[in-house]
Amino acid sequence: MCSLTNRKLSKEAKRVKAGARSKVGSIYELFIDTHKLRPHHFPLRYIRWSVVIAIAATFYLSFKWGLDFLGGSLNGSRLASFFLIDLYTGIEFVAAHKMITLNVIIGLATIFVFYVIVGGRTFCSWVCPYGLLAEITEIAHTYLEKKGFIKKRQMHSERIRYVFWIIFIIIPLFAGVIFFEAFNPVDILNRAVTYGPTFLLLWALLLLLYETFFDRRAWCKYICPTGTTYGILGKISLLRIKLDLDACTDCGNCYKVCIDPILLTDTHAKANIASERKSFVSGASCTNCARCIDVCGTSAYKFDIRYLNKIL
Amino acid sequence: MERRQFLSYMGIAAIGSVLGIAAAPLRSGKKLLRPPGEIGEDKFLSACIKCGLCVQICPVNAIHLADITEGLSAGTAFIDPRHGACDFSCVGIQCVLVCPSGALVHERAQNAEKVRIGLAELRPDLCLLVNNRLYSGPEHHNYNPSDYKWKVNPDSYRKEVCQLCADKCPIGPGAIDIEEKKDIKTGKTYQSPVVKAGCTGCGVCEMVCPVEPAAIVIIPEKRWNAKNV
Repeated sequence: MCSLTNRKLSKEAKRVKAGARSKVGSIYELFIDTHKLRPHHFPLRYIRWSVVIAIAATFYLSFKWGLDFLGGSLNGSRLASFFLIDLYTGIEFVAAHKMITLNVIIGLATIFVFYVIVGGRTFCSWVCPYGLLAEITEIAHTYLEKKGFIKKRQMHSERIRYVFWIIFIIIPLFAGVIFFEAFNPVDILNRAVTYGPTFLLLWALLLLLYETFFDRRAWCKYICPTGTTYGILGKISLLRIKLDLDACTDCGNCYKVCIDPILLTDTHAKANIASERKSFVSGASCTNCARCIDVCGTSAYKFDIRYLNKIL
Repeated sequence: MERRQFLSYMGIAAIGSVLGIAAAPLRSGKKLLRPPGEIGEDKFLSACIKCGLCVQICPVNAIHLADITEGLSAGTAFIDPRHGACDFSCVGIQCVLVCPSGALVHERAQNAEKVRIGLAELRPDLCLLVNNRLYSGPEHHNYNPSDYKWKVNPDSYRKEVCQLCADKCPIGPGAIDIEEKKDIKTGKTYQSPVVKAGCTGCGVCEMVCPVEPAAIVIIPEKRWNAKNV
């Protein structure tokens, strides 16, 4: 970190350095104080939450009003007579059924291309209804942590999600049943919104309570194979968040809000050795949630297209 | 990755897979009646991705998604004929057309007459016609009559002789007919509904049956042959 202090800071960075450094808060405080950190910046999380709610509402209303515009659920849906199939559901389906239909191929290809463009786990923070609730429990978790009711802990290495990813493919491969989708909280919540509540909601509630009191975002970080699939895709996806190290003030706010702070450690290290001192957040667990953009006192983070110079 | 961590991950993967495969048969205790075009319970569970598109397209709201009470069949589509049966009032059997994953196959349900999802089974001891009784008491139905094109007339529950199952069958006499039978012990003749080869298992007869529990029920996945009726 020695080299970081010696480098030239941009004017903007110098201006906010003192102020941002003093505001060392938890994610809870950072959520509340976003407007103080960046006065003229409309927080992207409001847009993001609106998108999640809008998608769930479209599912609900197009069924309720019989519009047939967006039918089905996040597993497999039909957008204006055009099929969309979730990637991990598609993999499970092929493993269990040992066959594939044309509509599944069309649906998987569409989703694949879409998420290659807009960035892997964008699904998790911009579409997934469980992600929205988990984010709210995350704020509750950090509030309780600040009050001293719960201890900070890291349960396991995040790589364990690849183990679950493989387990939930092996089971349908040998048992011939789409196993994971029976208790996938993402789809339980989505189906509950569209088709009415079920007892399965208790399972999603249990997970949310666990995340509140024991482990922040445990399902998303350690287990969810749906997110892991999109994360693998995210390694090659185009739209990602770019760090400009010259504007960075080392305030550490982004580390506090990030779902997987190691991502940012890697990005900072990469930007530090890069010639133009810029680097993309390229790890598999980045969900493009843009919380780092919201809490950054300067404009060090912004959305950008990767490989743009190669494409053009 | 460290060798030790890698080995522990391999262990977790192996144990998890074995537990999962062992738990996979924890499906519904009773057989569920699947929508038209179903491909057999085992294949259906491997193909149904639990999206619910068939639920949305059904004009009579006959299809539902199972809850956790059905074990790992949770989320799969089924028909509860007592509370709303498939009456083939839609054009082209739309649940089959909309299914993306081939859990409902078009070859098995090209038109209403070719559908086979189950078979109606009479319980003679409960049947009003067999016992030559009149139905008196509150009309019994659990379904929503406004869903159905042919609208069950409430008066149809107050008849001289109950022949509702044969009257309301969307297939007609090819599927269920009223025949005269002879009791072997007493030698008396009586009338009785008889399930024929044309029965698709749609469940309209179970839905309209005025007694509780229903005197005619659908056995999922059962097929007609001359012996079993």
